[in-house]
Amino acid sequence: MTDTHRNFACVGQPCELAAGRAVFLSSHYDDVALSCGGTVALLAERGPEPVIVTIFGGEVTDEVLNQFARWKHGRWGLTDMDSVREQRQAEDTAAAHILRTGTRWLGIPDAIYRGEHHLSDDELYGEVQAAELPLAQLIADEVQALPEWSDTSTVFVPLGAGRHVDHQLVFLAGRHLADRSVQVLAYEDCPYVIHTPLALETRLAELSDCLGAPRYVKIASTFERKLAAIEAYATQVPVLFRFTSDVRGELTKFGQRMAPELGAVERFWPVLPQAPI
Amino acid sequence: MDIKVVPKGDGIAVAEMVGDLNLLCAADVRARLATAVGDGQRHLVVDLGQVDFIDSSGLGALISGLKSARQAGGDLRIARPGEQARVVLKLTTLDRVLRPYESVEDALEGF
Repeated sequence: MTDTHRNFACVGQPCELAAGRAVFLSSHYDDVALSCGGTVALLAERGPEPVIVTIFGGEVTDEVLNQFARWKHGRWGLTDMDSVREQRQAEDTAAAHILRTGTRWLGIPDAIYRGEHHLSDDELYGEVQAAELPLAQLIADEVQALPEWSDTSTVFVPLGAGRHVDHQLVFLAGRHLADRSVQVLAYEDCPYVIHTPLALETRLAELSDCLGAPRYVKIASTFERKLAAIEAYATQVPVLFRFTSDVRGELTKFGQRMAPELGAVERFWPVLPQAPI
Repeated sequence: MDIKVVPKGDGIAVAEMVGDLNLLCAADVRARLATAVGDGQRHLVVDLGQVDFIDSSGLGALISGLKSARQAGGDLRIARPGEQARVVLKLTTLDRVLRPYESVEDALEGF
């Protein structure tokens, strides 16, 4: 057994997490590096090169900015959407280089730019609206049309802990893919699960009928690269971790929270196909 | 994806597209539209009548073209999108930015 394979040993039983190419779906630019960058780096070492697909990075124009989006921009200190998008994509490219993975950016706009669906934080972190549910199918279709796609691909999606509608939609896309016999694994949404541990418990309870038993990946050998990839999102880290002055310490503590003797660990839940009616 | 930019005079042109407008050709479409604008065709109508399929990346390329045209003081309109394109436009809410015209002539009107 190689060192890389040893890293994939589940706590309790050895297993392979992804047999073919791993396709990591990221609702927004930094989600995958933050949530499962260690596993991405491990899979990159093993090959074939994983790909991180950012779903909601679509370009928009000024006329889609409603009052809520303008308020959000004010909080984030955004003035020029185009230069911000360029910067975010440059950060994403740098993080992918560190993790040794490919990137794809789909063209679907972020929730705050999608019409009048999300006009408050309550709506942004609430139920997915019925009118938006078909977006999950669209995402699943576009993922299966990627040049990197093959029948042996394994897809990683956010659990949707924290209930951001974009994360929930990508999880639902994962359910569609699971229904099409694709192997799908859900990852913990970081930093939501760090800042609000209850969000994970709540989400797991909601999804209890469609998730399998969690699998654990030891990421000690790639943890430094994960941290470096997260730091590549230089405009985001101070915002996401505004509650701490020790980001590395916070991420290390989080990574080791399940079993300190194992070192840093990432956790994934198999997404089960819906039971036939 | 085949693209033919047909000048109509006074900085107006029709970009005729044939094939699928998707992630694979989105970068090329962006570049072609930017080039057309750079060449002085700042009022563009994209004729989607012969486009069988559009994905979100394809729409992104059109948005990029729209921005290029606007920065040059012009505009970009889309004409004759098929049912599949209309569904994707509506789902992504990009129909608010790229309002579909029923014909190329309708889209050209007022340029």
